[in-house]
Amino acid sequence: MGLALTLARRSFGAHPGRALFSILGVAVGIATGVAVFTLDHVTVLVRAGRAESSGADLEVRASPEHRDPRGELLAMEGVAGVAAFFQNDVRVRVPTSAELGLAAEASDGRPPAVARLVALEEGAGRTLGVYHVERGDDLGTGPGSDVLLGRALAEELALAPGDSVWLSPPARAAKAECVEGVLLHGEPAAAPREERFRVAGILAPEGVGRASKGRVALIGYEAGRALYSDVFVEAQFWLARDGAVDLEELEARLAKGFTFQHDQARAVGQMADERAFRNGVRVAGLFALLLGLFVIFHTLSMSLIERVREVGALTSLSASRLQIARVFFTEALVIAMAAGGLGLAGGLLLAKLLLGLGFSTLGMGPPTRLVDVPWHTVLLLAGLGVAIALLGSVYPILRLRSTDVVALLRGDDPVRRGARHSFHLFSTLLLVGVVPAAFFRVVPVVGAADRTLVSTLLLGLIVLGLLIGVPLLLPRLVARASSALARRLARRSVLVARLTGRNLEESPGRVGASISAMALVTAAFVGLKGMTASLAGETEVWGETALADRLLVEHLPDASLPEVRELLHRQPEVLGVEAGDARAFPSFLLLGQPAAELERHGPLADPALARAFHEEQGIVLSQRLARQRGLGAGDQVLVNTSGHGVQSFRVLAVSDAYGYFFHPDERAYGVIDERFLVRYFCTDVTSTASIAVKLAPGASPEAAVRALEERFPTARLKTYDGPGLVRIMLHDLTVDFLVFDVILLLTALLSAVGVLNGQLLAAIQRQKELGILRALGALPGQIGAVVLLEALVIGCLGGFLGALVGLGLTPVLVSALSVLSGLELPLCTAGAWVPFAISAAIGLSVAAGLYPVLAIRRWDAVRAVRTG
Amino acid sequence: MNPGGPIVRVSGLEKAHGDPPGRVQVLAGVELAIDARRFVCVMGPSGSGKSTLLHLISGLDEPTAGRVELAGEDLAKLSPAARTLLRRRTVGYVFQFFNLLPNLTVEENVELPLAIAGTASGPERAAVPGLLARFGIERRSAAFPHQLSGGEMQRTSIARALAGGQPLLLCDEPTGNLSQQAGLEVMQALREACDRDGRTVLLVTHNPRDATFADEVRFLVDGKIAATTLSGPGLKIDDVHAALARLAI
Repeated sequence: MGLALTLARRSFGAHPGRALFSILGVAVGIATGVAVFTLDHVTVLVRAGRAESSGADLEVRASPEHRDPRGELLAMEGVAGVAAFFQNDVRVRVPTSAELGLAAEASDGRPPAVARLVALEEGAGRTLGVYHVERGDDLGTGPGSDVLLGRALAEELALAPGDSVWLSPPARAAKAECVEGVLLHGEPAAAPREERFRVAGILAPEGVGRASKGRVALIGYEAGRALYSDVFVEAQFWLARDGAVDLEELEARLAKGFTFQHDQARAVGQMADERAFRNGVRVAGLFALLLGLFVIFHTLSMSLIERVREVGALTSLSASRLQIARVFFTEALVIAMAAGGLGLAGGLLLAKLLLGLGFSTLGMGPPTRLVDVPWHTVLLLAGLGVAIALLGSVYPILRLRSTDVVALLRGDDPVRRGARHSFHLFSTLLLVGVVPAAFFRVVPVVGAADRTLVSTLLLGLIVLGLLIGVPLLLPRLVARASSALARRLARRSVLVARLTGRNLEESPGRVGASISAMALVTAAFVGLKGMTASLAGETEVWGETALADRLLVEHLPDASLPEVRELLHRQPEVLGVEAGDARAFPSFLLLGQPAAELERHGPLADPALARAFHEEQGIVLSQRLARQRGLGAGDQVLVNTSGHGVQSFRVLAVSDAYGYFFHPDERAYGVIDERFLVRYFCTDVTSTASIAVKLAPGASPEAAVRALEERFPTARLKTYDGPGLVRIMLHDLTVDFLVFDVILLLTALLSAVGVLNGQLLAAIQRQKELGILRALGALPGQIGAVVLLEALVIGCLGGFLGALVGLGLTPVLVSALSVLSGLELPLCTAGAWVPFAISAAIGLSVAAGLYPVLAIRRWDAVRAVRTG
Repeated sequence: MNPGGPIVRVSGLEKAHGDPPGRVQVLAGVELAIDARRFVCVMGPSGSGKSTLLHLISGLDEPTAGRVELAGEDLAKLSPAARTLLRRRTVGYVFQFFNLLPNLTVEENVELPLAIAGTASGPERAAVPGLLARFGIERRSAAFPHQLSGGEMQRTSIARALAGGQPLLLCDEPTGNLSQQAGLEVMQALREACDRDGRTVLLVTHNPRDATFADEVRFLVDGKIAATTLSGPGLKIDDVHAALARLAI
């Protein structure tokens, strides 16, 4: 066995705990990063899989006044590509044998199929990636008119690339159209004209190929116009978003002149609040990885001191630099590789566990399986952890090799201090600069890296740098503060106070690193709880407008809405009754309510606004929608209607006073007079299964509930009052943020491992000293008290420092989250979580000190006093 | 305690290290009794088990066989904690490698037994300045061990052994790492501890010069205490050399 392997093996054998906890530190860091990214990957994959997708980011319609909508869209900032298209039904017929000049076959009698037709600009459509060809050729590669068929349609008609097919608009009865609230049925269309197409290829079941479950035919845009020349077809556009621009930003630009609908699948996780949440989870993953690496650097820094003499001995025995480097590299390689493998496997297991429990990076949801592993990214993440750990291991040895051999052999303090100082600088730069940059290269931020996001990340890194760098920059301050605290805490025991105080003074780097680790986790916890408190505060503030004095009723049986309204208005405290089912979704949620039900409270209590609402196509926007679209009172909102083209509504007010029902994610909506909803969408407004009753301020909902129960004695009505709903939403918020708690718990464990490692290594270094104490009559309990007091001091200082930093960071984080998520967040602090966080830091630190205490009890005092 | 009886009584003491076949028998039936206020020296070559004998007497280590009585207490009958407390009350240690705590000053090192006993804030503390002065280290009281010479370190170590007031001083090659002159001063200090302070001193050494300070010199040969005994005071170094030659040490 080579020298390197022998020494590495002996080192592991001598201190298995040190090796184990070093591996554990890096492994937990890597595992958290891997788990977070896998969780996010599967979350988006599963949620996107549930939604129908065209493959483009947005589907846009232009109002007639646009002369060159395609050009305008292409020129718009944030648009990466545009492809015109239209959709219609199509009749698909297989040519008979006679038409093909062949003998008659039994299949000749096969009836034509009706499928969905998509006519798409060929070149632009291809570059947008809205379809992929599974078999055969793409459009435009043959001499004549080509068609691509969806898999299901091709199988149904037994068609393959190279076959011919007849396409024609279907002979439909009358087209139903909603005009002024009435569904009008037109004259039956004339017999359709057939065009012959060559089946160029078969579409893969994604994007357009997934439309109508694969019963789709895709042809070129011009060929489509020719085929449907007798039918009105409305041109639409598929848009690809430039990744550097957020979805809402592009939507806000589009809203000024177009109507649009974003692709549900491609928009999963792309909304502002979702992006903020997902980025938050990613940053938490980075934080865990950094802390894991911090732990191993901390351990290596301690080992370095221990091994200065070893390097000196090897050098004096004429070992080459390469041989020396190999000794330490071998040990580090074993630790890093074991940690990488363990971290990768542990991360995937953790992701599987979290998914199974319903965790996701978009809040809690139904349990999910680990349907896919993003191997490329997770392997890169694990590799990053391993590479940085290796780099951290080899660097100090490279530094030491240039040091005077005699000084190394003596283990001179300046040599130790110099090596440690340079190592701290190196590791701080690595952790604060290199690792975050590499991490975001592997796992990029979700959405645009705008100024707010970049500033927030930079601020986080600066705080991280300061917390890691402080022990390096101000070692005496850390030493004196911790020593003073230790002496104060152990006033009754001179031995414990003196030894702990001196140990802390002598090891500012170790103590500082442990304090930093504890402070980082505490600060993150306090900052997170401050953020969630602000989000909860936002819900409460919003609830005061949207849910105060409000009664929500579900599961109403089929009943006339006017009758229900009449019944409820007999109660003097009822100010208005809104119908939950009076809704449409023309690119955003649109509710229709009679002006009479809204004008006794909120902004429409102003008669002028109420009149405009009822008579002039006015709209009241919820705060969130107005913020998302950048709209305010007086702006126009374009609404794409079923039969009246694009209609414009004037924003009368921005308020949450009306229209909120039961879904927390339905806070972005607009309210119009119900007569416009009827006119443009033919929505039934005479019955509803759910209502929202607005009560006079302070009124009890009991009378209204009783009236409904008496009217519908057999119905199983479900009622919620405003405060009850707020409570439910706050609970949901807490549950959604549990994923952060899980990550923080892991980072807390990491910091505990860091403290444990530091304490253990310090104890190993002081093994002789502790043996002397035993020889002089000190009880194991007294020696243990020294270790535990150190841990207590680390926990106290780390906890308090972290709480201070966390409290200081909260306003900045809340303000950044406010910008990133599009929510108007009040500034709240972590409140009662602050003392909890400090206590947890202390408890965790002391718990981490228990292992070294147990290890010390097993040490042989005789061995300690025998040696020089 | 055992008023009037020997402060240390060792009988049939054996100690072996390791397992067969590589087992090494270090002590093979040591018989030894040391009366209070005596200065006893045990001589033997390197590896003869001198230090092991001290570790067994102090209760730091446990014998393979045999019995150790310290201040009248059978160590085998005591729990580890009780042994530690007995050592704390009875034994002051002086090591070859000084074994001062590097993070504590000279004064704090001397106070260490008091701190361990929880009496560092009590009246016992008053004796410390006197000890520093007596051993000539009062001007170095704020220095740390690495700032001292070998002699100063060992004098600090002796002051520490005396500070706790323990009746028995176990001295393990206390001059092994010192110059001739410094070693002489240390031995004078130990002699004074016996004569002036009434401490019992058990010294193990292979240095014939050190043995001349003892009241009684015994020899550890082949794991046993040899019958040859030299008695002082006034031992001559030639007598020690002659005894060593006789015993082929």
